[in-house]
Amino acid sequence: MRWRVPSRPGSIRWRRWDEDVAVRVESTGGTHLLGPAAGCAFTVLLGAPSGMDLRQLADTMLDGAEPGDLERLDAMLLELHRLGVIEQVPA
Amino acid sequence: MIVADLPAARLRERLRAGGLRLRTGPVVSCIRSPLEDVAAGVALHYARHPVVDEGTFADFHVSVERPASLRRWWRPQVVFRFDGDAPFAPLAGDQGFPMLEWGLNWCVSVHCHDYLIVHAAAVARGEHAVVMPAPSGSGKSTLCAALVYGGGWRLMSDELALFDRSSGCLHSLARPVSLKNGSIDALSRFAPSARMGQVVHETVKGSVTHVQPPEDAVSAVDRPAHARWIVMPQYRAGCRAELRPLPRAQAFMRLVGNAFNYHVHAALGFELIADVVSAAQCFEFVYSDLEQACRVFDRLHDSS
Repeated sequence: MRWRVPSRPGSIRWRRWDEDVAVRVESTGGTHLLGPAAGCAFTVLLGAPSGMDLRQLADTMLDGAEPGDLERLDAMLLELHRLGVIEQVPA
Repeated sequence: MIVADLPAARLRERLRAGGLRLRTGPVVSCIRSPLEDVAAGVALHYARHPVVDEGTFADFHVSVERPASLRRWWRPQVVFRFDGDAPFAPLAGDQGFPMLEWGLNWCVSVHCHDYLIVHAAAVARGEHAVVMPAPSGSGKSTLCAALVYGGGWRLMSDELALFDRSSGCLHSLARPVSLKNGSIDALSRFAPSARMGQVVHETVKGSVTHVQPPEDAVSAVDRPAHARWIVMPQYRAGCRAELRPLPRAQAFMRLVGNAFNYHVHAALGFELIADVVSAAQCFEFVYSDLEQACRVFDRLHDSS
């Protein structure tokens, strides 16, 4: 499964201050504050318009994944997806 | 013409008949009321505000009056009407002026979508403003009153910070400051010259009164300012006044959470608040002593 930030113009608004990222999701009208880890994942995915899978994202974000990291990252991606901040890349 | 130019009888006549058209910053309200405590409150608190001609467009047509029910004979009440409708339940009969103020706040917060409106106090020195978003009970109006009556700051609003949609600058309302319970005595001691209206007891907020906006605030009501500081105030009994830096992202979310019409402005609201936060210094502020609080705000101003 690959993830990306929705690319439709205006679908996501975002601002970064230090390690925190605030995003607004046009489709839901929701505004969310992403903590450092989620903000980092979001920023990495912004730079990958064709999307990334879990392993690629972990390799980019983490300097060597430890046990449990992939599960935590996967749960975080599912939460970002639930909020509409990221989407699955169509097959 | 200002309200103080109207003889008392003429003011009451206008309030009883066609309505008094009162300008408070960018808002014109047409106010009607046959009640003496409302007339006295308007005469005191809006003494220096402009009265506009009867033909001038009014943003809001409001009234405070006795409801037409039998209760008025043995337990008088007052009701606030907006365009003839009563959006709130009636209150006890001596709460006419507070109800007018709460009703006018409501009018602005749910209708003035030319602005992004945040539940916040705002005070300024020159072009630079402090915006203090906070829920009721945090001490923002008390702090606001202290800053404008004894701290050398200009009142913009104690309740509603109006951000211009296009420029992001703040507009002033310069309306009366609302105080309740312990803050009434606290401000009386701190700023004895502040002119307070009648204290009304046993309201939903406890004992409440309003303080007349200072003359400089009313005369500069059309002078916008930029939010230089975002400060989240919190009264905490016995603590020393202290500013603590607040991450901008958290300040952003607090502004969003305290905005009345963020949802109306959609993406523009996001960008506007993000721009405001990016250009401001952001803090949390705890205080108990008003003199200490004013000194901290002096230093904040002088350090920039």
